[in-house]
Amino acid sequence: MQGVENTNLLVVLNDTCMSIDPNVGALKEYLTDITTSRTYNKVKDEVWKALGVVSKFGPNAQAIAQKVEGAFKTALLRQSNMFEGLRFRYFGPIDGHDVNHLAKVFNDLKQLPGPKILHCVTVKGKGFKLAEEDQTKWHAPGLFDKITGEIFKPKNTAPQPPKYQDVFGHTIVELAKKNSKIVGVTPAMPSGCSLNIMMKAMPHRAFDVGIAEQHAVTFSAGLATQGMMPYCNIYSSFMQRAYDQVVHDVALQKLNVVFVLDRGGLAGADGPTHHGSFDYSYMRCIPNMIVSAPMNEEELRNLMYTAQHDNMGPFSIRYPRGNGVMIDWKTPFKAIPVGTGRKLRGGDGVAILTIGHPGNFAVAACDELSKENIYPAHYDLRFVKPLDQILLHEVFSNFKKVITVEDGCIMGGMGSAVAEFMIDNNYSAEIVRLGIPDKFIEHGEQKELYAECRFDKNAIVATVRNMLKVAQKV
Amino acid sequence: MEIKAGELLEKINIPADLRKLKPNQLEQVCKELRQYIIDIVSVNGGHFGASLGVVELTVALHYVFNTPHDQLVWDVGHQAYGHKILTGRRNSFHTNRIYKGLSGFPKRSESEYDTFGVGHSSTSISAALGMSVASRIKNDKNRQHVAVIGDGSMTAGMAFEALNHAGSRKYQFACGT
Repeated sequence: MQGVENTNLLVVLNDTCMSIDPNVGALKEYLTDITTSRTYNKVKDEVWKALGVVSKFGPNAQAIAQKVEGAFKTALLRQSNMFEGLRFRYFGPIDGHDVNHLAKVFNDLKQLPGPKILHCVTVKGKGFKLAEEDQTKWHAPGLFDKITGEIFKPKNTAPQPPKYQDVFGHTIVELAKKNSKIVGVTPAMPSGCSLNIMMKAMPHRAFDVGIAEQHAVTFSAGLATQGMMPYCNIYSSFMQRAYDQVVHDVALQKLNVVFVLDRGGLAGADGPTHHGSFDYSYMRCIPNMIVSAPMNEEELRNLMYTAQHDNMGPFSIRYPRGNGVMIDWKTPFKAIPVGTGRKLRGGDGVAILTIGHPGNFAVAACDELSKENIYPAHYDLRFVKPLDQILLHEVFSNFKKVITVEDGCIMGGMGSAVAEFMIDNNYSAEIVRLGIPDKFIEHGEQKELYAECRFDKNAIVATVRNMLKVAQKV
Repeated sequence: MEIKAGELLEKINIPADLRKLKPNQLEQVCKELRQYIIDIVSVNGGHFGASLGVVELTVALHYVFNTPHDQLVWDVGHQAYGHKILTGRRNSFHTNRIYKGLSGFPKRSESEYDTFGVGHSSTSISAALGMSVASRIKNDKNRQHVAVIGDGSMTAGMAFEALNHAGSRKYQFACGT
């Protein structure tokens, strides 16, 4: 990197005091201190005066720099400002809604080489009163009346199944009331993952650690070393950011951390950065890791109940964004033996193996096919690891045609695990694996994306027909 | 539903059009841009508060910096609706987040003004530092690189990893500290 002396780098710190939920932690308090400190503002004004003068000299970087340096030779500023301590030139705080002042400041800063940070204070939702007042609600409100601010709710009055997120939020509170070791952890997604229910019910046992997935995982590991039972809820795609922490800090030490992976599978309109496509694959290859996914609300509750039992080691439970399928979901808890699936329907000719929520697509497919007198068998594996060996021996002993369905990448996922089992046990069957293909899937409604990836009900029906037709020809 | 842009905004197809305006017109542009975002999100859905909060920043950045030559990196990116509207995508913005439509986040394949694909937080300083070092290596001393990062994203480790790297002495200018 020799010869690289200057970088024209400007960091604009957009200080809103918010993420999706209010920001937390010492940094937030530090930024607030800066913006409210009178001494600091006085120094800041002097700096600006100096900058105003030097701007007239034109773009002679060295001269400007020296002048500005002079203005910065304030011990107070350098010692008290974290960014200055990191050798950034810190400017501000300034009003991020004064466009003319902003333009003037940017013009000045453009002439200063080297790393600079401009601290702007803005209001999330600025200019729309209701959005300014309730920033979490208006982060992404859906459709609304722009005059009255009424947020349109779906007109459907029939009772709807709950979101998996809310099932998680209520269930962890239920479990934590009976088990004093249980705590909840989220990296800045309390409203998204519904841990806010626990934060309200038992604030001392639920933690929003900020946008900090690595820290969330290792913090959970630390809790677990002392016998606590953390339920660390992280979106599947965000968990990618904490992989080393999952492997080393939790799995290698066989700590009892429950990883609750929200937004597993195709997340919808947020698109490829938010799809949780890879978790079955990336969790399955880690020693000690239990990898599970519930097909419905009751299964989610039972898996959460099961995961708190002693010496489970790392235990992951994943589910998609959005609603489940059960209106009466508050079922009594039942422990599920780890590594056991369930046979949902016996059948002939072809067996459908599913994991997680897409099991419901297979149920619908089987219902439709039964009208044509086609009766596939359907098994819900529940665990991608450990696999239910007894169940799979039954499948491969009885079926020569197997379809696997998962809301995750095909490569390395549940279907791959099943194919590995088949090879390792000297079975031979025709397997069609449905799931997310080896490409990045763009944004859209979940049902549009399920159809594009071909693992929705229609795709399962078509695959069954296709496989059985081939059989008839032979 | 037809959503009409204001008088000034209507004439801004790319930031170069914005840069033709006088400084005293910027407030009006901000007003129109804000209204356009409210109009379109109210009927289309999507992220809302974040983009409203950075309307003035967005306008000032594109007014002062020579985008797309100067590199503007939005952290996370759900605050970049105004940026998309000012950079050639006003007329397709009604497809935002819709299947086969515009992405809700900056995306390199979508526009040359989207310098870096984002969606997860706290990557902007690292990416902008990479771009700025590349410009130095290529001896392009005039190109500017701007990372816009929220205080929420600033709580993540990567932002500090990047600040620590950018602040190392070899990235300081000659008469620096």
